Amino acid sequence: MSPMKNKIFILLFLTSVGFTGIAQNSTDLVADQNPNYQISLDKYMSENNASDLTLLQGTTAQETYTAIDPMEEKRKRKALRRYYRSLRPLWRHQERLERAKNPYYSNRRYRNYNNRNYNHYNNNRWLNSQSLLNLGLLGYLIFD
Amino acid sequence: MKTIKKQLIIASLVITGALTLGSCARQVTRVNSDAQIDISGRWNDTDSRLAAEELTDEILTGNWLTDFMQANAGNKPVLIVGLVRNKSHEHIEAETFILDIEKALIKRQRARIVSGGKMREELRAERADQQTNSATSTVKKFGLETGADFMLQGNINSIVDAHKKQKVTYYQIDLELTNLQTNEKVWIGDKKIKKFVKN
Repeated sequence: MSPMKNKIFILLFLTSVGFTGIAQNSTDLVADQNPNYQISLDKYMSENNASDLTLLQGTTAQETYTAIDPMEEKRKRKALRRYYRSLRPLWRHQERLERAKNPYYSNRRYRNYNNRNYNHYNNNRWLNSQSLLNLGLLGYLIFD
Repeated sequence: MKTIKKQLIIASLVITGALTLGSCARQVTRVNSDAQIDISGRWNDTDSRLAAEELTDEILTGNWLTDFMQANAGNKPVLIVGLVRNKSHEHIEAETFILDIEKALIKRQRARIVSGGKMREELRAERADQQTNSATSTVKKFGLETGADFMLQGNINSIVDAHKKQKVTYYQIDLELTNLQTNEKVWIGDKKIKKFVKN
């Protein structure tokens, strides 16, 4: 076989392969189908994307909001208050346990910062509960 | 005299105790599932039932069904249920009324429903299991599932207007049926529920 004939055969083969490819492409596309559909197909065929979206089918996505409802808010506050009140014995118990563990434990919760009556240097209020009690006792002693 | 007094006191104590205990005991009675019982004013089974009834009626009488059957040689449409977004202020499970709609469509043989979501994954997992564990004559093949023609999606919205001890709650449930090939919405159904709650 001459090299010329060989070349013709190769050319014919390549042309036929090319035509087959074009024909294949044209059969994939239906009437009016976008030729760039493959880009979108690849995007949605990626494993994570597809499973994330389809797994939620038939379910309800709860995207709820909190409505302005004074009565409901009041009810919630009340429930929270009750809950904290129910926890108070537990907190006290824990405090007692801590105190038992450490004898020098100072309970800051019960410290009365406002009661400065015993501090005579800083006692600016002359009419306080202590003075009234003293006056009462004095009156009782005098007038009795 | 003293013994009678004592007996009277004991008897009164027993009666009081029995009454107190009796008043605390919980009472449970079976009622009809269609009975309308509103307790808190929130979304309840009655609302779900009303939504299911109206939406079922709307979807079954919609033109989309006849249009599809005429265009497809009398074949019934295949539906898949998509995601329903609850954008209201309450927790609402759409499954309670969506399943009623699916049931009505199957029962009246107006459409075919295919499984989706996690249930479909479970089915595929079972099919995969069959490939290695079941007798060859009973193995179900992959790649033969029925493709849906339409997807049913929805939204639940609400509006709350409350002042002092009065409240008006409005719910709107919208369902849409979209053609999977063309993204064309072929049917939109809604159910509106308005409640007036006085505390």
